[in-house]
Amino acid sequence: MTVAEAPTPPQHMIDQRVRVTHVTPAGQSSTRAQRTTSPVVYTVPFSTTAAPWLRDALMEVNELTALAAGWDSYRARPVEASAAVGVAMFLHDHSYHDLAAPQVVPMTDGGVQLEWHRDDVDFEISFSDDDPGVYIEDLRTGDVIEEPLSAAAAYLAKYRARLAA
Amino acid sequence: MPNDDPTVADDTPLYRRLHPKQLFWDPNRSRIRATSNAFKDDELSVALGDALRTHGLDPMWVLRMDPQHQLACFTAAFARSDGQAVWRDRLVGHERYGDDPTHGIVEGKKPKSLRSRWADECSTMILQPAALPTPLRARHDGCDVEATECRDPQ
Repeated sequence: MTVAEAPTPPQHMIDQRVRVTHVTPAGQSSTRAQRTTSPVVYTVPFSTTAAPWLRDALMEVNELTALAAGWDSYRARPVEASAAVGVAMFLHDHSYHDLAAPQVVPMTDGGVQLEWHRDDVDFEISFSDDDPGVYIEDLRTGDVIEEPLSAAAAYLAKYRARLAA
Repeated sequence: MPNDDPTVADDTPLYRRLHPKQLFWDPNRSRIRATSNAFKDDELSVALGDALRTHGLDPMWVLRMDPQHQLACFTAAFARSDGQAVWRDRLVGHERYGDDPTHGIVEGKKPKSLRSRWADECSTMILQPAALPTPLRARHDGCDVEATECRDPQ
């Protein structure tokens, strides 16, 4: 495929916000943080023709930013603003219409992970300061791929058909 | 294997609490399961099944302070087969859980491939189905074979 033949990236309009809030200090027993009056706001623009799952996925990211330290009932860190923004940017740039909705899950180190489990493929992208990367397991062949986060977009495009809705 | 405690028998079930956000429906396996990240900690806190029995407790006791959580379960042998050490770590006066004689640690590096396999092979015990997020509750209610007992992963 030449560059000229490559699919047009999604077009975007400002419509949706991911609010990345400050979270409470470590040690609080509540699993919900209080939102502050001055949240960091990352605005994720997308069009009315965006993938049908994009809004829900961004809302999931937003919800995760409200998890307080210890949210897993152990020693989990709150979701870091950098991870929430990173995953929101990635979703913004790769909201393919034919892709199934990802699972958006918090990581205990403060990161956020996107997961697809379809058509005998386990596909996980980790946005984390401690442990970023893409992990793919093909359950048919047994092949395992583990690459840096910078390779996630290329692998998502490669596996897109098998991760389709 | 540093710190491994041989008094924790290989067939001892180990229980790990799972937050609702760590659970999802896996179409590849047609079951509710945990994300691999639930097993990320180098020192992974668990409840030791033998200590629960000794104190006349059952796995629901592990969830006594966490009405939204469920449990993952695997055996000590399963953890040790991946080079992990299992040891007792009784909690005294913990700010949330108070005294907990069942608390233990599964210690060792847990690379992505190991975490992924654990998430695949451990049992997911849905002991508080009413606490599942709505989409998962519907899946659980429609599933006759959802694991509610700890099995020994192969």
